[in-house]
Amino acid sequence: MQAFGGAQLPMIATTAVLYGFAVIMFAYVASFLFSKHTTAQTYTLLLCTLGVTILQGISFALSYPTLNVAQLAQDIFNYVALLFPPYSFATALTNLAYKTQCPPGVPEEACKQVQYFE
Amino acid sequence: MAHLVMNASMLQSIPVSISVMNSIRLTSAITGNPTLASMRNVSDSLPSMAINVTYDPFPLQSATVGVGIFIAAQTQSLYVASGFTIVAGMIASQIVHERELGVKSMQLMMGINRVMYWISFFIFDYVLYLIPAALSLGLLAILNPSVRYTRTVNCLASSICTVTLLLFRLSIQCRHLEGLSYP
Repeated sequence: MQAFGGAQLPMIATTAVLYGFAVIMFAYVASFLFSKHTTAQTYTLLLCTLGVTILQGISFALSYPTLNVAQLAQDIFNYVALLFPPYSFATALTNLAYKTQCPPGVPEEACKQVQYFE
Repeated sequence: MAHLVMNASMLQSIPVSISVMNSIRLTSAITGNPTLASMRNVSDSLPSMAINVTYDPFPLQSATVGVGIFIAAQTQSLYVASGFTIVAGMIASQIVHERELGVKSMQLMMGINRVMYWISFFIFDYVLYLIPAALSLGLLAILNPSVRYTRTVNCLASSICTVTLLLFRLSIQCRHLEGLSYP
């Protein structure tokens, strides 16, 4: 969280504001899947948490350099997964915090590797 | 003096190093190495030996550091995003609760416009979302002490904030899982 501040904070705030629109719409759609409010709350939370974890794991695995997955496959997966608001929010945070700046104490060369690590 | 460059992750490194040490002792005993002979113990027929362990790893390459930073970035983003997902459950629950009680049906029968129904819900939910979002962003702004504090304090503050968000998220989840056990 070292990089979630300073010059990045206004952009992260904008992302959080826009995330509100996306996640509220997502919750409205998800609410039609349930008939009990306790179930809806629990399983929506579970869906969001597990969804973002699994999708980020798959995204990382696909982008790992030694696996040599085609860039097209990564892009298709990424664009489809971005329809899931928590994943898009987490991806936006990653990009904003680490791909647009180099945190203090990290060599510039390493940051360039991160920027190309997609 | 003998130098042994070995891979510490290799399981056979210890027997290999012992074997090399014994070879050196044997060679020095046979050839009478003057350097080792000066280290000879009075009561010992073989020269005394010692292993000096020095740790001098190769520097990490920028690609390796880059992957490490990327993993750290994804993990931290995951924790923060998980903290923000609490709102989704609350909103979905509220909608279903109104449907359970028949409030939605009653309002529709009374002639409320469906668009207005959803817009009013959206405005209420969005304002409700902005409060924790603003507090979380304020926390992030406060915990950005890279300018004022040392790097250790910065890392500590970041870790505390990240773990707090994650534990808060898990506590909410446990609370709701407990609620499922009631009829």
